[in-house]
Amino acid sequence: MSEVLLEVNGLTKAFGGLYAVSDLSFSTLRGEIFGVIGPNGSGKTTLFNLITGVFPATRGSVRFRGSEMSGLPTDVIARRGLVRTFQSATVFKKETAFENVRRGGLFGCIGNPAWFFRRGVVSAGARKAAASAEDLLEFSGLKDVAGTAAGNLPYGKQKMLGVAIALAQHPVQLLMDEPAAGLNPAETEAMAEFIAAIRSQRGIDVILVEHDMRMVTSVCDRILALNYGKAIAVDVPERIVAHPEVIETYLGADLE
Amino acid sequence: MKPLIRDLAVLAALAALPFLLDSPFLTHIGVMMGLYVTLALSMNLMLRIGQISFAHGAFMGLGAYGSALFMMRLGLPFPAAFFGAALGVTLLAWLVGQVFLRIRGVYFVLLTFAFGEIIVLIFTEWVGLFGGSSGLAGVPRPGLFGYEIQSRNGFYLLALALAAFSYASVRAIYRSELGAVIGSLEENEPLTRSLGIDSGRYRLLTFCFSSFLVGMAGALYGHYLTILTPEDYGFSVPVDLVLINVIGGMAHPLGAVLGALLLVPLPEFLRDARQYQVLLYGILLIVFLLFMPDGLYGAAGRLRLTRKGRAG
Repeated sequence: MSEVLLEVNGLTKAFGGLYAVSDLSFSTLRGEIFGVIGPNGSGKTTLFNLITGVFPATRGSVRFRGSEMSGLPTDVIARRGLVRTFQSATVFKKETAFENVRRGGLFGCIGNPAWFFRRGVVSAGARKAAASAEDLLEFSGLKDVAGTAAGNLPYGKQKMLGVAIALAQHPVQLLMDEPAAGLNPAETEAMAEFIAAIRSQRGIDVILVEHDMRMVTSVCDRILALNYGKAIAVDVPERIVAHPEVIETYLGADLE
Repeated sequence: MKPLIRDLAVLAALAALPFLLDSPFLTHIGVMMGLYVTLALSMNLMLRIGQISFAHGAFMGLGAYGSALFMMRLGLPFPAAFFGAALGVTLLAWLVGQVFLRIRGVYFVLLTFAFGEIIVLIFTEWVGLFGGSSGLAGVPRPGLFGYEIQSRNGFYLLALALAAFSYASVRAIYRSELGAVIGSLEENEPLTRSLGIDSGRYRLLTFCFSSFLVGMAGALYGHYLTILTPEDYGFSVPVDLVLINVIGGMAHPLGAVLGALLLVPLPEFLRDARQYQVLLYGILLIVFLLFMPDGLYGAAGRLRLTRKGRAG
């Protein structure tokens, strides 16, 4: 029997009178790639921001590996193993690809400036981060551009780099905000394979917010369909794409 | 040559300069340059975290009045008064920084501007303690190891030591992993936070160290002038410091040094024509923003690259 990794319970976020996420509950199981779909404005990115503590929830709770996450700041949540990537390619553009991934691995060790005074922490962290950056650049197919400034990489590689930066923190669960947005079909396919490899080779769980229906259904074990901040259904891909309400709100009624 | 030996050689040459030149006027300019290098570096730290503090003029004043009054009223020896004042400024920065640093962009500039003006107003209105607008006269000369420093050359050496400390520490910060964090915050704060960095604490630390530098420079400035007047510590100080950074180049601490070398002598040479000074600053700023947006340091770097390109 699989254990529950992330447990969202009654999560609600109101912006003024508007409910971006309303009374949302779901949980993910250890080892799962979990998809979240929904039309624009259905609350997907808000859900990510709530889980990662970018802003506080109006109500509800987020439990990760059994402990409460709501109310914690982003950096603490990240250090506990719940790490996100961003919708647009988000990298340190002036730095090399290698330095980007190295910082991803290092910053968790020096989250608080007071930790600089712990002997050996910074140098040990820096050494480990550099070694793991080499390994991750290889894993994400960016080894040949390790010395290139991130801002000069093609968009697809920048998005890949964004994921590698997140992986450098050795997360337990990775929250990916539209990893295929802005990518061409070939890049999208490579990204889907990459996500599968993140789980199979690195043992990292993934929550995926995505528009690209083919990608979501091919890579995810279960999918949560959202509309107006509410859950329509949580199910395996085959049943999600056949769900009448999902077809109506997301895929469009004229599909078929 | 090893970098450390090179740095020490430069420092020794700079220390010997006033004794070789033997010109009180040039030594005075040297003292002001040393102080302004420190001040400009403190602003460079704030520019790095993207929050320009307009309270830095008033913080400089707190360092000056603080160190002077610690000696005059409490009879503290110079080193204790000097560091006491600088640490006092740091403590104040730590207290107000908890609130101020949450506010970004132009609002932070306005907030620190207002806070600075309040401090200057206190200098002006609290006549009993700060001497009011006519100033606080008779600030004692610093004494070190039993010697009272009277001569310009002595002040020059103190200012040089302060500038060297500021430069070495700021450069060390930017070269260390601390610099990687500060650079990351400057470039993309949401990403940096998502990587596990407590951005608030790093901003506060930067603000505190920046204020410590300003406090020390202010303290030395006060002992050098021996008379303190409130209007010296208004918002024109941070404006000058931003100007020095823009013209010198913000990307490297050397930029602040180059900017101070170029801009500090100007008011001394144009003492009788203050309106021309402002005009010249304006023209310089326009020229630099149009043709050298990354300042003297950036321009020098590009020149080196083109030379290398030609040679290769």
